[in-house]
Amino acid sequence: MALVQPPIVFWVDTHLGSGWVLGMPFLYVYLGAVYFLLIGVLLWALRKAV
Amino acid sequence: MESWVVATGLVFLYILVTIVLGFLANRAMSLDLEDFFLYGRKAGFVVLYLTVVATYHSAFAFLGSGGFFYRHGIGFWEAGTWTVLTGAITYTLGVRIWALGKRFSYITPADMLADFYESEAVRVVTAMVSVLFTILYIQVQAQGLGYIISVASGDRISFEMGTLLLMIVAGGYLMAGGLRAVYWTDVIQGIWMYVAVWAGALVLSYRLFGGPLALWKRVAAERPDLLSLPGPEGFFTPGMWIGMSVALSFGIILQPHIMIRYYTAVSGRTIKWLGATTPIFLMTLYIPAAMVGLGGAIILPDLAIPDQIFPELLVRYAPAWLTGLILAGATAAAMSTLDSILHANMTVLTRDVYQRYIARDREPAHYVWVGRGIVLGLLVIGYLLSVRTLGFLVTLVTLSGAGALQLLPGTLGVCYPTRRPFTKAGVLAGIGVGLTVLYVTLVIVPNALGIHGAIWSLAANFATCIAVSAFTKPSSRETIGRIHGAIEDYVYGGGDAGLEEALRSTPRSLPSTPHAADSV
Repeated sequence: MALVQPPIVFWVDTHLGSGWVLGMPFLYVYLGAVYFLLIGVLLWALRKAV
Repeated sequence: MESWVVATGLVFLYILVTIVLGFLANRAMSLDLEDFFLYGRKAGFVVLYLTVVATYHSAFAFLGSGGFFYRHGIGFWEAGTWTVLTGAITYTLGVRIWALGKRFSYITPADMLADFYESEAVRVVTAMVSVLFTILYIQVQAQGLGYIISVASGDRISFEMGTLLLMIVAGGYLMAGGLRAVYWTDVIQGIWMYVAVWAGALVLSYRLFGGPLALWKRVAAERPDLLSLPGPEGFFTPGMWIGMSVALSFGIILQPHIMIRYYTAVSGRTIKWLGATTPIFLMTLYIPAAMVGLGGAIILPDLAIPDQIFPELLVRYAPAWLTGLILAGATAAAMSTLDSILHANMTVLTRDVYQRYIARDREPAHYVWVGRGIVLGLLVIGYLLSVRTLGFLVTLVTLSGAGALQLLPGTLGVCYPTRRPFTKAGVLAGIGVGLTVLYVTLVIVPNALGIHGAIWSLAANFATCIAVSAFTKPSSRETIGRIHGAIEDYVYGGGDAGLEEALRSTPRSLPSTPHAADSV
Protein backbone atom coordinates (compact mmCIF):
# COMPACT_ATOMS: atom_id res chain seq x y z
CA MET A 1 0.00 0.00 0.00
CA ALA A 2 2.98 2.27 0.61
CA LEU A 3 3.71 2.13 -3.12
CA VAL A 4 0.54 4.16 -3.82
CA GLN A 5 0.94 6.63 -0.97
CA PRO A 6 3.13 9.69 -0.45
CA PRO A 7 6.04 10.08 -0.63
CA ILE A 8 6.54 7.24 -3.10
CA VAL A 9 3.72 8.09 -5.47
CA PHE A 10 4.78 11.74 -5.61
CA TRP A 11 8.38 10.69 -6.25
CA VAL A 12 7.15 8.51 -9.11
CA ASP A 13 5.18 11.42 -10.52
CA THR A 14 8.11 13.83 -10.29
CA HIS A 15 10.80 11.55 -11.69
CA LEU A 16 8.91 9.24 -14.00
CA GLY A 17 5.58 10.99 -14.61
CA SER A 18 6.51 12.37 -18.01
CA GLY A 19 7.04 8.89 -19.40
CA TRP A 20 4.55 6.81 -21.33
CA VAL A 21 3.73 3.10 -21.13
CA LEU A 22 1.57 1.35 -23.71
CA GLY A 23 0.31 4.71 -24.95
CA MET A 24 -0.79 5.89 -21.50
CA PRO A 25 0.84 8.20 -18.92
CA PHE A 26 3.30 6.42 -16.68
CA LEU A 27 1.65 7.52 -13.42
CA TYR A 28 -1.70 6.17 -14.57
CA VAL A 29 -0.22 2.82 -15.56
CA TYR A 30 1.91 2.64 -12.41
CA LEU A 31 -1.05 3.19 -10.09
CA GLY A 32 -3.22 0.75 -12.02
CA ALA A 33 -0.52 -1.91 -11.91
CA VAL A 34 -0.05 -1.55 -8.16
CA TYR A 35 -3.80 -1.65 -7.59
CA PHE A 36 -4.08 -4.92 -9.49
CA LEU A 37 -1.07 -6.25 -7.59
CA LEU A 38 -2.74 -5.43 -4.27
CA ILE A 39 -5.92 -7.16 -5.40
CA GLY A 40 -3.76 -10.12 -6.27
CA VAL A 41 -2.47 -10.16 -2.71
CA LEU A 42 -6.03 -10.23 -1.40
CA LEU A 43 -6.91 -13.09 -3.74
CA TRP A 44 -3.80 -14.95 -2.65
CA ALA A 45 -4.79 -14.53 1.00
CA LEU A 46 -8.25 -15.85 0.16
CA ARG A 47 -6.81 -18.87 -1.61
CA LYS A 48 -4.47 -19.60 1.26
CA ALA A 49 -7.33 -19.13 3.75
CA VAL A 50 -5.27 -16.56 5.67
CA MET B 1 -38.60 8.83 -32.62
CA GLU B 2 -37.25 11.79 -30.72
CA SER B 3 -34.17 11.18 -28.64
CA TRP B 4 -35.75 12.31 -25.39
CA VAL B 5 -38.51 9.72 -25.84
CA VAL B 6 -35.95 6.93 -26.24
CA ALA B 7 -33.83 8.11 -23.34
CA THR B 8 -36.74 8.67 -20.97
CA GLY B 9 -38.37 5.43 -22.05
CA LEU B 10 -35.29 3.40 -21.17
CA VAL B 11 -35.02 5.05 -17.78
CA PHE B 12 -38.68 4.27 -17.07
CA LEU B 13 -38.20 0.69 -18.29
CA TYR B 14 -35.49 0.32 -15.68
CA ILE B 15 -37.79 1.81 -13.03
CA LEU B 16 -40.49 -0.71 -13.98
CA VAL B 17 -38.00 -3.54 -13.45
CA THR B 18 -37.27 -2.31 -9.93
CA ILE B 19 -40.98 -2.08 -9.12
CA VAL B 20 -41.52 -5.68 -10.26
CA LEU B 21 -38.57 -6.86 -8.17
CA GLY B 22 -39.95 -5.02 -5.16
CA PHE B 23 -43.28 -6.79 -5.62
CA LEU B 24 -41.59 -10.19 -5.89
CA ALA B 25 -39.50 -9.48 -2.81
CA ASN B 26 -42.64 -8.65 -0.88
CA ARG B 27 -44.10 -12.03 -1.83
CA ALA B 28 -40.95 -13.79 -0.60
CA MET B 29 -40.61 -11.81 2.60
CA SER B 30 -41.50 -13.00 6.08
CA LEU B 31 -42.66 -10.44 8.58
CA ASP B 32 -39.85 -10.71 11.11
CA LEU B 33 -37.02 -8.38 12.03
CA GLU B 34 -34.15 -10.46 10.71
CA ASP B 35 -35.79 -11.00 7.35
CA PHE B 36 -37.03 -7.43 6.84
CA PHE B 37 -33.92 -5.70 8.16
CA LEU B 38 -31.17 -8.27 7.47
CA TYR B 39 -32.34 -10.52 4.61
CA GLY B 40 -32.50 -13.34 7.18
CA ARG B 41 -28.66 -13.23 7.40
CA LYS B 42 -28.66 -15.41 4.28
CA ALA B 43 -27.02 -13.25 1.65
CA GLY B 44 -24.83 -15.39 -0.58
CA PHE B 45 -21.72 -14.17 -2.39
CA VAL B 46 -23.22 -13.01 -5.69
CA VAL B 47 -26.07 -11.02 -4.15
CA LEU B 48 -23.84 -9.56 -1.43
CA TYR B 49 -21.11 -8.67 -3.91
CA LEU B 50 -23.45 -6.78 -6.19
CA THR B 51 -25.30 -5.00 -3.39
CA VAL B 52 -22.03 -3.85 -1.79
CA VAL B 53 -20.57 -2.51 -5.03
CA ALA B 54 -23.88 -0.97 -6.10
CA THR B 55 -24.28 0.71 -2.73
CA TYR B 56 -20.68 1.90 -2.60
CA HIS B 57 -20.81 3.53 -6.02
CA SER B 58 -23.58 6.09 -6.06
CA ALA B 59 -24.55 8.97 -8.32
CA PHE B 60 -21.02 10.12 -7.58
CA ALA B 61 -19.68 7.33 -9.77
CA PHE B 62 -21.43 8.85 -12.78
CA LEU B 63 -21.39 12.51 -11.95
CA GLY B 64 -18.85 13.34 -9.28
CA SER B 65 -15.93 11.15 -10.32
CA GLY B 66 -15.92 12.42 -13.90
CA GLY B 67 -16.17 15.93 -12.50
CA PHE B 68 -13.20 15.34 -10.23
CA PHE B 69 -11.01 14.10 -13.08
CA TYR B 70 -12.23 17.05 -15.19
CA ARG B 71 -11.28 19.62 -12.60
CA HIS B 72 -8.35 18.11 -10.70
CA GLY B 73 -6.81 15.74 -13.18
CA ILE B 74 -5.20 12.36 -12.89
CA GLY B 75 -4.76 12.64 -9.12
CA PHE B 76 -8.27 11.30 -8.69
CA TRP B 77 -7.01 7.91 -9.85
CA GLU B 78 -6.01 7.77 -6.21
CA ALA B 79 -9.58 6.50 -5.82
CA GLY B 80 -8.20 3.08 -6.63
CA THR B 81 -6.33 3.21 -3.32
CA TRP B 82 -9.37 3.56 -1.16
CA THR B 83 -11.31 0.97 -3.11
CA VAL B 84 -8.56 -1.61 -2.65
CA LEU B 85 -8.19 -0.60 0.98
CA THR B 86 -11.93 -1.10 1.44
CA GLY B 87 -11.47 -4.69 0.31
CA ALA B 88 -8.65 -5.26 2.78
CA ILE B 89 -10.69 -3.75 5.61
CA THR B 90 -13.64 -5.95 4.71
CA TYR B 91 -11.37 -9.03 4.66
CA THR B 92 -9.97 -8.34 8.13
CA LEU B 93 -12.32 -6.15 10.15
CA GLY B 94 -15.51 -7.00 8.27
CA VAL B 95 -15.29 -10.70 9.01
CA ARG B 96 -14.99 -9.96 12.75
CA ILE B 97 -18.02 -7.68 12.63
CA TRP B 98 -19.91 -10.45 10.84
CA ALA B 99 -18.86 -13.09 13.41
CA LEU B 100 -20.02 -10.97 16.34
CA GLY B 101 -23.27 -10.11 14.59
CA LYS B 102 -23.99 -13.78 13.99
CA ARG B 103 -23.01 -14.82 17.51
CA PHE B 104 -24.87 -12.14 19.41
CA SER B 105 -27.74 -11.29 17.02
CA TYR B 106 -26.65 -7.74 16.31
CA ILE B 107 -28.78 -5.84 13.83
CA THR B 108 -27.22 -2.36 13.88
CA PRO B 109 -23.70 -0.98 14.45
CA ALA B 110 -24.93 0.46 17.74
CA ASP B 111 -25.99 -3.02 18.93
CA MET B 112 -22.37 -4.16 18.79
CA LEU B 113 -20.83 -1.06 20.35
CA ALA B 114 -23.45 -0.71 23.09
CA ASP B 115 -23.09 -4.39 24.02
CA PHE B 116 -19.29 -4.31 24.38
CA TYR B 117 -19.08 -0.94 26.12
CA GLU B 118 -22.15 -1.68 28.29
CA SER B 119 -23.49 1.75 27.54
CA GLU B 120 -26.75 3.17 26.28
CA ALA B 121 -24.93 6.47 25.77
CA VAL B 122 -22.66 4.74 23.27
CA ARG B 123 -25.75 3.32 21.56
CA VAL B 124 -27.40 6.73 21.28
CA VAL B 125 -24.25 8.50 20.06
CA THR B 126 -23.50 5.75 17.55
CA ALA B 127 -27.05 5.87 16.22
CA MET B 128 -26.93 9.66 15.96
CA VAL B 129 -23.60 9.62 14.12
CA SER B 130 -24.85 6.83 11.86
CA VAL B 131 -28.03 8.65 10.89
CA LEU B 132 -26.88 12.26 10.90
CA PHE B 133 -23.93 11.80 8.60
CA THR B 134 -25.74 9.61 6.10
CA ILE B 135 -29.15 11.25 5.96
CA LEU B 136 -27.72 13.93 3.72
CA TYR B 137 -26.69 11.29 1.25
CA ILE B 138 -30.42 10.85 0.73
CA GLN B 139 -30.48 14.44 -0.43
CA VAL B 140 -27.40 14.01 -2.62
CA GLN B 141 -28.75 10.90 -4.35
CA ALA B 142 -32.21 12.46 -4.72
CA GLN B 143 -30.71 15.51 -6.40
CA GLY B 144 -28.70 13.26 -8.68
CA LEU B 145 -31.87 11.40 -9.65
CA GLY B 146 -33.78 14.60 -10.35
CA TYR B 147 -30.97 15.87 -12.53
CA ILE B 148 -30.72 12.60 -14.47
CA ILE B 149 -34.45 12.53 -15.24
CA SER B 150 -34.50 16.16 -16.32
CA VAL B 151 -31.53 15.56 -18.65
CA ALA B 152 -33.05 12.37 -20.10
CA SER B 153 -36.37 14.08 -20.79
CA GLY B 154 -34.86 17.29 -22.15
CA ASP B 155 -36.35 19.15 -19.17
CA ARG B 156 -39.85 17.94 -20.00
CA ILE B 157 -39.88 16.27 -16.59
CA SER B 158 -38.77 18.83 -14.05
CA PHE B 159 -36.00 18.25 -11.53
CA GLU B 160 -38.53 18.34 -8.69
CA MET B 161 -40.92 15.87 -10.32
CA GLY B 162 -38.09 13.53 -11.27
CA THR B 163 -36.73 13.59 -7.75
CA LEU B 164 -40.14 12.92 -6.24
CA LEU B 165 -40.98 10.10 -8.61
CA LEU B 166 -37.74 8.18 -8.16
CA MET B 167 -37.70 8.63 -4.41
CA ILE B 168 -41.22 7.22 -4.25
CA VAL B 169 -40.15 4.20 -6.32
CA ALA B 170 -37.07 3.50 -4.18
CA GLY B 171 -38.96 4.01 -0.93
CA GLY B 172 -41.86 1.97 -2.26
CA TYR B 173 -39.94 -1.21 -3.02
CA LEU B 174 -38.03 -0.89 0.23
CA MET B 175 -41.24 -0.64 2.24
CA ALA B 176 -42.73 -3.55 0.32
CA GLY B 177 -39.85 -5.99 0.41
CA GLY B 178 -37.38 -4.77 3.03
CA LEU B 179 -33.70 -5.51 2.54
CA ARG B 180 -34.59 -8.38 0.21
CA ALA B 181 -36.02 -5.84 -2.28
CA VAL B 182 -32.97 -3.64 -1.87
CA TYR B 183 -30.61 -6.54 -2.53
CA TRP B 184 -32.51 -7.88 -5.52
CA THR B 185 -32.70 -4.46 -7.16
CA ASP B 186 -29.01 -3.91 -6.33
CA VAL B 187 -28.14 -7.02 -8.36
CA ILE B 188 -29.62 -5.36 -11.46
CA GLN B 189 -28.29 -1.95 -10.51
CA GLY B 190 -24.72 -3.16 -9.93
CA ILE B 191 -24.50 -4.85 -13.31
CA TRP B 192 -26.28 -2.04 -15.17
CA MET B 193 -24.18 0.78 -13.78
CA TYR B 194 -20.88 -0.99 -14.51
CA VAL B 195 -21.80 -1.83 -18.09
CA ALA B 196 -23.24 1.66 -18.63
CA VAL B 197 -20.17 3.57 -17.45
CA TRP B 198 -17.78 1.46 -19.53
CA ALA B 199 -20.01 1.54 -22.62
CA GLY B 200 -20.51 5.28 -22.41
CA ALA B 201 -16.84 6.06 -21.87
CA LEU B 202 -15.63 3.82 -24.68
CA VAL B 203 -18.22 5.06 -27.18
CA LEU B 204 -17.42 8.68 -26.38
CA SER B 205 -13.67 8.13 -26.52
CA TYR B 206 -13.93 6.54 -29.97
CA ARG B 207 -16.42 9.11 -31.31
CA LEU B 208 -14.55 12.15 -30.03
CA PHE B 209 -10.91 11.09 -30.12
CA GLY B 210 -10.57 7.87 -32.09
CA GLY B 211 -10.05 5.71 -29.02
CA PRO B 212 -8.62 5.80 -25.48
CA LEU B 213 -4.97 6.00 -26.56
CA ALA B 214 -5.70 8.96 -28.82
CA LEU B 215 -7.60 10.54 -25.93
CA TRP B 216 -4.51 10.35 -23.70
CA LYS B 217 -2.34 11.89 -26.42
CA ARG B 218 -4.67 14.85 -26.84
CA VAL B 219 -4.89 15.43 -23.11
CA ALA B 220 -1.07 15.37 -22.91
CA ALA B 221 -0.83 17.82 -25.81
CA GLU B 222 -3.57 20.26 -24.78
CA ARG B 223 -3.88 19.89 -21.00
CA PRO B 224 -0.64 18.45 -19.60
CA ASP B 225 -1.52 20.04 -16.25
CA LEU B 226 -4.21 17.40 -15.86
CA LEU B 227 -1.66 14.58 -15.98
CA SER B 228 0.52 15.44 -13.01
CA LEU B 229 0.26 16.00 -9.29
CA PRO B 230 -1.01 17.93 -7.46
CA GLY B 231 -3.30 18.90 -10.37
CA PRO B 232 -4.30 22.25 -11.91
CA GLU B 233 -5.73 23.64 -8.66
CA GLY B 234 -3.16 22.05 -6.38
CA PHE B 235 -5.82 19.82 -4.78
CA PHE B 236 -3.92 16.54 -4.52
CA THR B 237 -1.30 17.39 -1.97
CA PRO B 238 0.28 14.51 -0.04
CA GLY B 239 -1.92 15.34 2.95
CA MET B 240 -5.11 15.25 0.89
CA TRP B 241 -3.99 12.04 -0.80
CA ILE B 242 -3.54 10.22 2.50
CA GLY B 243 -6.62 11.80 4.04
CA MET B 244 -8.94 10.78 1.24
CA SER B 245 -7.52 7.26 1.29
CA VAL B 246 -8.41 6.95 4.96
CA ALA B 247 -11.71 8.84 4.93
CA LEU B 248 -13.14 7.12 1.89
CA SER B 249 -12.16 3.60 2.94
CA PHE B 250 -12.66 3.36 6.71
CA GLY B 251 -15.20 6.16 6.66
CA ILE B 252 -17.46 4.42 4.15
CA ILE B 253 -17.09 0.98 5.75
CA LEU B 254 -18.28 2.40 9.07
CA GLN B 255 -21.38 3.97 7.61
CA PRO B 256 -24.44 1.98 8.64
CA HIS B 257 -25.53 0.95 5.14
CA ILE B 258 -22.21 -0.85 4.61
CA MET B 259 -21.72 -2.21 8.14
CA ILE B 260 -25.22 -3.67 8.16
CA ARG B 261 -24.34 -5.56 4.99
CA TYR B 262 -21.63 -7.43 6.88
CA TYR B 263 -24.28 -8.77 9.23
CA THR B 264 -26.33 -10.16 6.36
CA ALA B 265 -23.71 -12.54 4.95
CA VAL B 266 -24.45 -16.24 5.13
CA SER B 267 -20.89 -17.03 6.30
CA GLY B 268 -17.56 -15.50 7.24
CA ARG B 269 -16.06 -17.05 4.13
CA THR B 270 -18.54 -15.00 2.08
CA ILE B 271 -17.20 -11.83 3.73
CA LYS B 272 -13.63 -12.82 2.86
CA TRP B 273 -14.62 -13.47 -0.75
CA LEU B 274 -16.24 -10.04 -0.70
CA GLY B 275 -13.12 -8.38 0.61
CA ALA B 276 -10.87 -9.97 -1.97
CA THR B 277 -13.08 -9.39 -5.02
CA THR B 278 -15.13 -6.19 -4.60
CA PRO B 279 -12.05 -4.01 -5.26
CA ILE B 280 -12.00 -5.35 -8.81
CA PHE B 281 -15.39 -3.78 -9.55
CA LEU B 282 -14.91 -0.71 -7.40
CA MET B 283 -11.46 0.18 -8.69
CA THR B 284 -11.99 -0.51 -12.37
CA LEU B 285 -15.09 1.69 -12.47
CA TYR B 286 -12.74 4.69 -12.21
CA ILE B 287 -10.94 3.77 -15.42
CA PRO B 288 -13.80 4.89 -17.71
CA ALA B 289 -14.51 7.80 -15.34
CA ALA B 290 -10.97 9.05 -16.06
CA MET B 291 -11.61 8.91 -19.80
CA VAL B 292 -14.86 10.84 -19.40
CA GLY B 293 -13.44 13.52 -17.13
CA LEU B 294 -10.09 14.06 -18.83
CA GLY B 295 -11.51 13.79 -22.35
CA GLY B 296 -14.39 16.05 -21.35
CA ALA B 297 -11.93 18.72 -20.24
CA ILE B 298 -10.71 18.85 -23.85
CA ILE B 299 -14.11 18.77 -25.57
CA LEU B 300 -16.10 21.00 -23.16
CA PRO B 301 -13.46 23.06 -21.38
CA ASP B 302 -15.72 25.71 -19.89
CA LEU B 303 -18.35 23.66 -18.15
CA ALA B 304 -19.71 25.59 -15.20
CA ILE B 305 -20.52 22.44 -13.20
CA PRO B 306 -17.86 19.78 -13.82
CA ASP B 307 -20.06 17.06 -12.28
CA GLN B 308 -22.31 17.30 -15.31
CA ILE B 309 -19.57 16.35 -17.80
CA PHE B 310 -20.75 12.77 -18.42
CA PRO B 311 -24.42 13.58 -19.14
CA GLU B 312 -23.43 16.65 -21.15
CA LEU B 313 -21.15 14.60 -23.39
CA LEU B 314 -23.80 11.91 -23.80
CA VAL B 315 -26.57 14.30 -24.75
CA ARG B 316 -24.39 16.06 -27.32
CA TYR B 317 -22.40 13.23 -28.83
CA ALA B 318 -23.97 9.81 -28.12
CA PRO B 319 -26.94 8.16 -29.86
CA ALA B 320 -30.24 8.47 -27.99
CA TRP B 321 -30.52 4.75 -27.19
CA LEU B 322 -27.07 4.71 -25.63
CA THR B 323 -27.74 7.91 -23.72
CA GLY B 324 -30.92 6.35 -22.37
CA LEU B 325 -29.15 3.13 -21.36
CA ILE B 326 -26.39 5.02 -19.59
CA LEU B 327 -28.72 7.44 -17.86
CA ALA B 328 -30.69 4.40 -16.69
CA GLY B 329 -27.38 3.13 -15.34
CA ALA B 330 -26.87 6.42 -13.57
CA THR B 331 -30.37 6.12 -12.16
CA ALA B 332 -29.45 2.64 -10.99
CA ALA B 333 -26.32 3.93 -9.28
CA ALA B 334 -28.19 6.64 -7.42
CA MET B 335 -31.16 4.44 -6.47
CA SER B 336 -28.93 1.62 -5.24
CA THR B 337 -27.30 3.96 -2.76
CA LEU B 338 -30.50 5.81 -1.92
CA ASP B 339 -32.42 2.65 -1.03
CA SER B 340 -29.50 1.39 1.07
CA ILE B 341 -29.27 4.60 3.05
CA LEU B 342 -33.03 4.69 3.55
CA HIS B 343 -32.90 1.09 4.76
CA ALA B 344 -29.95 1.70 7.10
CA ASN B 345 -31.48 4.80 8.65
CA MET B 346 -34.81 2.98 8.97
CA THR B 347 -33.09 0.07 10.73
CA VAL B 348 -31.12 2.29 13.12
CA LEU B 349 -34.08 4.48 14.03
CA THR B 350 -36.41 1.49 14.47
CA ARG B 351 -34.00 -0.69 16.43
CA ASP B 352 -31.82 1.77 18.34
CA VAL B 353 -34.45 4.39 19.10
CA TYR B 354 -38.01 3.14 18.77
CA GLN B 355 -37.60 -0.46 19.93
CA ARG B 356 -35.11 0.50 22.59
CA TYR B 357 -36.74 3.47 24.22
CA ILE B 358 -40.32 3.88 23.02
CA ALA B 359 -41.98 0.51 22.51
CA ARG B 360 -40.28 -2.60 23.86
CA ASP B 361 -41.34 -6.19 23.47
CA ARG B 362 -43.84 -5.72 20.67
CA GLU B 363 -44.47 -8.23 17.93
CA PRO B 364 -41.92 -8.23 15.07
CA ALA B 365 -44.60 -7.18 12.60
CA HIS B 366 -45.13 -4.04 14.65
CA TYR B 367 -41.52 -2.97 14.18
CA VAL B 368 -41.65 -3.76 10.48
CA TRP B 369 -44.62 -1.42 10.08
CA VAL B 370 -42.91 1.24 12.17
CA GLY B 371 -39.88 0.89 9.93
CA ARG B 372 -42.08 1.43 6.90
CA GLY B 373 -43.46 4.58 8.50
CA ILE B 374 -39.95 5.81 9.19
CA VAL B 375 -39.07 5.35 5.51
CA LEU B 376 -42.00 7.58 4.61
CA GLY B 377 -40.72 10.22 6.99
CA LEU B 378 -37.20 9.97 5.58
CA LEU B 379 -38.57 10.35 2.05
CA VAL B 380 -40.35 13.57 3.02
CA ILE B 381 -37.23 14.94 4.70
CA GLY B 382 -35.02 13.85 1.82
CA TYR B 383 -37.31 15.42 -0.78
CA LEU B 384 -37.52 18.73 1.08
CA LEU B 385 -33.74 18.79 1.46
CA SER B 386 -33.23 18.02 -2.21
CA VAL B 387 -35.34 20.93 -3.51
CA ARG B 388 -33.92 23.54 -1.18
CA THR B 389 -30.40 24.69 -0.54
CA LEU B 390 -29.65 25.73 3.00
CA GLY B 391 -26.28 27.00 4.10
CA PHE B 392 -25.86 24.67 7.03
CA LEU B 393 -26.60 21.69 4.84
CA VAL B 394 -23.58 22.43 2.72
CA THR B 395 -21.53 22.33 5.90
CA LEU B 396 -23.06 19.04 6.98
CA VAL B 397 -22.36 17.46 3.61
CA THR B 398 -18.76 18.59 3.96
CA LEU B 399 -18.56 16.85 7.32
CA SER B 400 -20.46 13.73 6.38
CA GLY B 401 -17.64 12.06 4.51
CA ALA B 402 -15.56 11.69 7.66
CA GLY B 403 -18.32 11.68 10.28
CA ALA B 404 -18.75 7.92 10.44
CA LEU B 405 -14.96 7.63 10.66
CA GLN B 406 -15.27 8.69 14.29
CA LEU B 407 -16.69 5.25 15.09
CA LEU B 408 -13.38 3.63 14.13
CA PRO B 409 -11.64 3.59 17.53
CA GLY B 410 -14.70 2.17 19.25
CA THR B 411 -15.18 -0.46 16.57
CA LEU B 412 -11.54 -1.52 16.65
CA GLY B 413 -11.78 -1.75 20.44
CA VAL B 414 -14.58 -4.28 20.07
CA CYS B 415 -13.04 -6.34 17.30
CA TYR B 416 -9.37 -6.50 18.32
CA PRO B 417 -8.71 -7.87 21.81
CA THR B 418 -6.01 -5.99 23.71
CA ARG B 419 -4.70 -6.01 27.25
CA ARG B 420 -6.07 -2.53 27.88
CA PRO B 421 -9.44 -2.29 26.23
CA PHE B 422 -11.04 1.02 25.45
CA THR B 423 -13.72 2.18 27.83
CA LYS B 424 -17.11 3.73 27.22
CA ALA B 425 -15.83 7.05 28.57
CA GLY B 426 -12.85 6.89 26.26
CA VAL B 427 -14.95 6.09 23.20
CA LEU B 428 -17.49 8.81 23.94
CA ALA B 429 -14.82 11.41 24.65
CA GLY B 430 -12.99 10.40 21.50
CA ILE B 431 -16.08 10.79 19.34
CA GLY B 432 -16.83 14.19 20.84
CA VAL B 433 -13.31 15.49 20.34
CA GLY B 434 -13.08 13.92 16.90
CA LEU B 435 -16.26 15.58 15.66
CA THR B 436 -15.16 18.94 17.06
CA VAL B 437 -11.78 18.71 15.37
CA LEU B 438 -13.49 17.56 12.19
CA TYR B 439 -15.65 20.68 12.19
CA VAL B 440 -12.63 22.90 12.79
CA THR B 441 -10.44 21.26 10.15
CA LEU B 442 -13.05 20.99 7.43
CA VAL B 443 -15.07 24.19 7.95
CA ILE B 444 -13.14 26.79 9.95
CA VAL B 445 -9.58 26.06 8.91
CA PRO B 446 -10.10 23.66 5.99
CA ASN B 447 -7.43 20.98 5.72
CA ALA B 448 -4.89 22.81 7.86
CA LEU B 449 -1.27 22.38 6.76
CA GLY B 450 -2.55 20.61 3.65
CA ILE B 451 -3.72 17.66 5.74
CA HIS B 452 -7.25 16.38 5.23
CA GLY B 453 -9.55 17.10 8.17
CA ALA B 454 -10.33 13.39 8.43
CA ILE B 455 -6.74 12.72 9.51
CA TRP B 456 -6.76 15.50 12.08
CA SER B 457 -10.06 14.33 13.55
CA LEU B 458 -9.10 10.67 13.63
CA ALA B 459 -5.78 11.42 15.30
CA ALA B 460 -7.53 13.55 17.92
CA ASN B 461 -10.16 10.87 18.42
CA PHE B 462 -7.65 8.07 18.96
CA ALA B 463 -5.46 10.16 21.24
CA THR B 464 -8.43 11.12 23.39
CA CYS B 465 -9.86 7.60 23.45
CA ILE B 466 -6.55 6.08 24.53
CA ALA B 467 -5.85 8.74 27.15
CA VAL B 468 -9.31 8.69 28.73
CA SER B 469 -9.53 4.89 28.62
CA ALA B 470 -6.30 4.70 30.61
CA PHE B 471 -7.98 6.36 33.58
CA THR B 472 -11.54 5.08 33.39
CA LYS B 473 -13.22 1.81 34.17
CA PRO B 474 -13.57 -0.73 31.36
CA SER B 475 -16.56 -2.95 30.77
CA SER B 476 -17.07 -5.96 33.02
CA ARG B 477 -14.80 -8.97 32.68
CA GLU B 478 -17.79 -11.05 31.72
CA THR B 479 -18.68 -8.85 28.75
CA ILE B 480 -15.12 -8.44 27.54
CA GLY B 481 -14.52 -12.16 27.94
CA ARG B 482 -17.72 -13.01 26.11
CA ILE B 483 -17.14 -10.72 23.13
CA HIS B 484 -13.37 -10.86 22.79
CA GLY B 485 -13.56 -14.57 23.51
CA ALA B 486 -15.97 -14.96 20.61
CA ILE B 487 -13.55 -13.08 18.36
CA GLU B 488 -10.60 -15.23 19.37
CA ASP B 489 -12.62 -18.43 19.05
CA TYR B 490 -13.64 -17.44 15.54
CA VAL B 491 -10.32 -16.06 14.27
CA TYR B 492 -7.95 -18.54 15.92
CA GLY B 493 -10.32 -21.41 16.49
CA GLY B 494 -13.00 -23.05 14.41
CA GLY B 495 -13.98 -20.27 12.00
CA ASP B 496 -17.43 -20.68 10.45
CA ALA B 497 -17.81 -24.27 11.60
CA GLY B 498 -16.78 -23.39 15.13
CA LEU B 499 -19.24 -20.51 15.24
CA GLU B 500 -22.10 -22.74 14.10
CA GLU B 501 -21.18 -25.22 16.82
CA ALA B 502 -21.10 -22.45 19.41
CA LEU B 503 -24.55 -21.27 18.32
CA ARG B 504 -25.95 -24.78 18.61
CA SER B 505 -24.56 -25.31 22.09
CA THR B 506 -25.20 -21.86 23.54
CA PRO B 507 -28.31 -19.74 22.88
CA ARG B 508 -27.68 -16.41 21.16
CA SER B 509 -28.37 -13.51 23.43
CA LEU B 510 -28.22 -9.77 23.47
CA PRO B 511 -28.84 -7.73 26.59
CA SER B 512 -32.39 -6.50 26.29
CA THR B 513 -32.44 -3.95 29.09
CA PRO B 514 -30.56 -0.67 29.28
CA HIS B 515 -27.30 -0.92 31.13
CA ALA B 516 -28.13 0.10 34.70
CA ALA B 517 -24.66 1.37 35.48
CA ASP B 518 -24.64 3.74 32.56
CA SER B 519 -25.57 7.37 32.98
CA VAL B 520 -26.54 8.99 29.70
